[in-house]
Amino acid sequence: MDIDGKLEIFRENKLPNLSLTEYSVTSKQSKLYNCFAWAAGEDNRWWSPIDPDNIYYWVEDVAIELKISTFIQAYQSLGYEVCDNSELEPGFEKIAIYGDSEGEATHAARQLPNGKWTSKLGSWEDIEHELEGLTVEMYGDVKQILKRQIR
Amino acid sequence: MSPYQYPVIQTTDIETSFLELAEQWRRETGVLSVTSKISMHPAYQRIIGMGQPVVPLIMRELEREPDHWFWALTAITGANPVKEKQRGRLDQMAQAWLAWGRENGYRW
Repeated sequence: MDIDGKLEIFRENKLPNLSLTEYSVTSKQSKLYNCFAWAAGEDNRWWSPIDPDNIYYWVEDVAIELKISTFIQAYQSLGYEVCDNSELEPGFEKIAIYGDSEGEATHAARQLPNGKWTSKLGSWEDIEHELEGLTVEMYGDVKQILKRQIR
Repeated sequence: MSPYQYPVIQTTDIETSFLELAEQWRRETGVLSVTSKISMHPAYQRIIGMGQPVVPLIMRELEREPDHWFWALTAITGANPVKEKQRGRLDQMAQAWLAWGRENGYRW
């Protein structure tokens, strides 16, 4: 983590919209979890549907594939439902699923109580950001918002 | 040289190549969360192509820091010692592979 709460320059260069929007680094880097786990509130496991032998964690009884619809099902198993907006709604928490032009999920972010979003960047750090900040070729853009009532 | 002949890589060259490819792979895939995309990176695929001689080097890297070497190890060795409850827990997955390596005579 840089001393001013920003990513190293070569990392920021891979996510050019970040520097055009507000963001800050909120953790040290870690390889122990990824964005899909972090969106679900986990920080000790790497979620990824992968064949053969599904050597990573994936949600039981959900297909092992990268389709957006599959990730929706995975989060539905945690009580989320599809939603048509990313606005902050009192009493609800939201997840944004990013996807590429081929309809494959690439990234997920979770909304914070202040309305901003928290993301784990692959094996790098967690950041607090705006949804548009992570719109980039490798992540694509937000394809689906999900929400669930805060328990 | 015919298109089907490749130079034999010496052990020291294997280590140098591995370390260079591993650094390139880490640098270029660090932002990704989808394991299949991480594992399909050309540098990672070249490491897999180096075959069994690279296994001790991967074990050494895994011992230094758990990372996504599991696809490569399974591709090269055909084994998968990670138990279902360990899936996704990189530190436990690394320990399972290190134990497997020792049991199967690898030294690093």
